[in-house]
Amino acid sequence: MRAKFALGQYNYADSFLHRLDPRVKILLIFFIVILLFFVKTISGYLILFLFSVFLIVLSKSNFSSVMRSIKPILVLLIFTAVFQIFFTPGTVIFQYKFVKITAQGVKLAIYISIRLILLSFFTFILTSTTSNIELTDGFESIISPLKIFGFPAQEVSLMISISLRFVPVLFEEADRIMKAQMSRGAEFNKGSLIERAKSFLPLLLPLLLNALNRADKLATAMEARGFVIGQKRTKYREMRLSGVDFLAIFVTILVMGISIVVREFV
Amino acid sequence: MIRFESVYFAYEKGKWAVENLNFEIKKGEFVALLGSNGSGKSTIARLTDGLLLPNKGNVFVDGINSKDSPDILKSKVGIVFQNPDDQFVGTTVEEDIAFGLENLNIERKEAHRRVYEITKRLGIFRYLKSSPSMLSGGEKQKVAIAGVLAMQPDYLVLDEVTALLDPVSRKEIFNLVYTIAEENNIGVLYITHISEEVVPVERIILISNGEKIKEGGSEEIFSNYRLLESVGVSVPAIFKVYSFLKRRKPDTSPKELSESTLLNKL
Repeated sequence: MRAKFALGQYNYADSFLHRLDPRVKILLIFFIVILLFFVKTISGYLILFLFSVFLIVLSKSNFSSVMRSIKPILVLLIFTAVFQIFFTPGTVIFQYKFVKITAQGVKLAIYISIRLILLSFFTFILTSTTSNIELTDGFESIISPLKIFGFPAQEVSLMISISLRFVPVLFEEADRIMKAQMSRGAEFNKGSLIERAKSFLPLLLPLLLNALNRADKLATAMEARGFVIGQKRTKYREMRLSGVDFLAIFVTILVMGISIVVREFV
Repeated sequence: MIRFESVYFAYEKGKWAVENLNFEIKKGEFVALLGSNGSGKSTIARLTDGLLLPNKGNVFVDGINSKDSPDILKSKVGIVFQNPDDQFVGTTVEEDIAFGLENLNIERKEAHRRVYEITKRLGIFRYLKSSPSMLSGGEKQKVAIAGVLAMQPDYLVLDEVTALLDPVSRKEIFNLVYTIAEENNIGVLYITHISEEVVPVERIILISNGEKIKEGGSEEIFSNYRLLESVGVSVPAIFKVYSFLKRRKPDTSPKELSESTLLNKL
């Protein structure tokens, strides 16, 4: 089950992207994601798509993992696209009784689908090349100015880090509980949608109890290793901007600029 | 020195988990705490480094009362728990080992040196950039032990660290801890329910229902079969061979309590 859940999983490799400062990666991906909602042309999206493919190749990730990263959002993607196709007003290009498809609806559905796919691609690039600790260290550094307002930046980033680490663990646990229940006759893949949803209910309670038990044990282990909430800690990992980071910033800004100014060709 | 002075501890009112417990561990000494499941072993482990505080009596570590400064105790006493998966905080082996060092405010350069040295010593250096969850049971436990040893504690409490391992890994971990503790003059409290493991240990504390039943060397502890049976602890097979030989050859001494020596004599 863990293998099926690619989004948010770190790829243990050594690549140009792995070596970049996590703060640079977080901020660049953040701005690209915002940009996705402002690009208005297919050619702009095509440039961003090619850029994401280039980054995936650069990150030494395999494409089957990338494809798996789309799976969790597939239902959302189909639902949104269908909704846009049938309910967007505009020039009617197809009509059967009360069902209407408009040109604007089709265009919007394509745009939203591309946006969601690119969103998962860029998120994948960030999480597959940045370990959870790097992510949280980078995130903590970015939000650290908020400390002057009393915001617990360190605690929040550690909380996120541990939550991220536990995502695959919980999936494995769910898989284990499912198999244990299936061995005692439970059926998760039979019946109507509602029946299937109901069959998952007995899974939730043991999963929740196990998660709470694990959280308790981890908290004890962290305390035993000297962790005290609010206490100052040194940083093992040094974050320093280097030439490759500036190169990455320059290239990304260039690509972002081109994707905005490029003219429509279709 | 770790000193338990008439220690009582209860999770529920009127039901002692630990009752009138007295013992000492000197720096550099290797002591085993042997007892069946539910005998209060893990509670004793948590009392040792201030994770739990006694309801009655006192726990002293180098003269510091755990009730006065439980946080100082955590830098003096390192504790490793049974299941390493419940203790990992970092995404990679390196980050996880560094977690405790960050909490102790160890400078970056020194932290890197300690991580390098301890992983080399425990033979897990090649896994530095790997995810701890991908390692074998024995390797995972080595990572958990490394995380605590890197903090350079004066005392080490190992709470059933080999319970989930196969006999070969169990022996490997025991020998490794024994040697490292001897090299670095670390006082060790080795907690287990597996009697075979502690045969070579010079001082064994047998506990049952939170009370100390007996304290002494292998011969004193394991020669009373009826007592061991009453507290749910098995007699080690090697000790049975030793007893048999001792009856035939009275000159057999406890120093010969090793597989190879006894086999030769047989």
